[in-house]
Amino acid sequence: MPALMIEIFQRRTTRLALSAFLLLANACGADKANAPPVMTAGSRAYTADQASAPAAPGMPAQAGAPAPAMPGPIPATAGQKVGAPATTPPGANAKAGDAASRAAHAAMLIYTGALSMQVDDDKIAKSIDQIIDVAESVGGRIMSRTDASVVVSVPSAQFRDALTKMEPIGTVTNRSVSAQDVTEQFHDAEVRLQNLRATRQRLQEFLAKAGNIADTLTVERELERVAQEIDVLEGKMRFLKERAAFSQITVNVSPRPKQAITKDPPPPPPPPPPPPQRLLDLPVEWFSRLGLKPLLDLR
Amino acid sequence: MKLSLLSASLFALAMAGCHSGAQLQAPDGFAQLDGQKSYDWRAASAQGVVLAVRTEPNEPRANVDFWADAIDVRLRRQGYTAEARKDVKSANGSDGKQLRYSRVEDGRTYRYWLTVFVNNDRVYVVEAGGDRDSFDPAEKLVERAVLTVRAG
Repeated sequence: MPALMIEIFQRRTTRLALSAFLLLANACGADKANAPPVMTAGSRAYTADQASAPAAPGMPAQAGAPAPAMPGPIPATAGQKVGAPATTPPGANAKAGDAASRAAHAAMLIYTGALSMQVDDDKIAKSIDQIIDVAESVGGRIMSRTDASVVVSVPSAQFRDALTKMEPIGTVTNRSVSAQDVTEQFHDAEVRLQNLRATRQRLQEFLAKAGNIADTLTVERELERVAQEIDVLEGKMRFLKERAAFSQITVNVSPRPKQAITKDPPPPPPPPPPPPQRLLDLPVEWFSRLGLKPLLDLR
Repeated sequence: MKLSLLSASLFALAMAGCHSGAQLQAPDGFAQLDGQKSYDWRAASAQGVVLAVRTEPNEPRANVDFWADAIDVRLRRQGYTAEARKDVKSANGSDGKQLRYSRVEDGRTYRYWLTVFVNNDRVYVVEAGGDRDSFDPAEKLVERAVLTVRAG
């Protein structure tokens, strides 16, 4: 009898612990706002990085700033530290996580550039070819092309270089460069991913200890949900990394307006010759006998 | 009375004989031509250069400028090309105008000089002309001969 009571007590304790854990796991994965404190540390790191973020290429106010160094692969050690189990006291690894985040992440900027240029009417296609050549020469590629525009994707590190090489192809009439900072999004996703992985690990441990079918099913459902969230976050991070690694440049090419040829108006037609002068025939008979013919006629 | 009439007739005849027409001194190489009807005097060189003078009534009465202009207009209308216009003076001191022209006929170029003097009643017209190839070598002779006219 006491043995039975002990077993019942142990089961209740296990259920209670499982329920408490699932409650925590849900809270961890479902709402970004309830993210563990390490996220706050990451956000601070982002803010600090942003303050010293490299200049966006092509932006006048930051002219001369080097192109941003795109974030490389995230070091596993840093990720593991940041993604320590939620039970870890927040203050304990906040400083370490902050430093790791700074080291691991430079600002992730997605540059978008647009150029409008004018070229000679018969050189539009050739100019677009030249723009594509420039993009490919810096490791980029063509994304789309129409008769009068082209969209190319270039490595973000070569963004400024590509723009500089494209500008002389025509007469630039408009230039715009914008940068979208996705550092925070990426970092948030990274932290959530690490927490979810830790949760998955713990769920797997619970699953191994589950004593009945009901518990097993409950943990498996939770494992499936966590796995789906992990997939979504990994996809999002992949997307952000790719977007930040390459920047898009849209170039619209239009024909140069033909200069109005200031053609001198044709000269007015010459006035018709005036009628012959009206001369008086003097009534002088001997005038008719003047001249070479009568003079030289000796007969 | 009869004597008076006779004397007057003789004087009139004498005067008429003295006013038979203007003449030039023919230059060397020129032969004076007789029996002229349209001219008071005419002479020609062996190369075909001809000098002549005529006397016409100064009607309508005008000065030498008028007659020079009137003749110039007439000749230009006939296709003569004016080349020069000069003031000249005759042997007896009359002021005159000399008009020099050229004219192309049948591919040959001719010279034609016309010099006009005027007194109260008369217009003296001295003409000189000929093929350019003959006239130009005799130009100086012609120039001097024209001015030997006694107008008035």
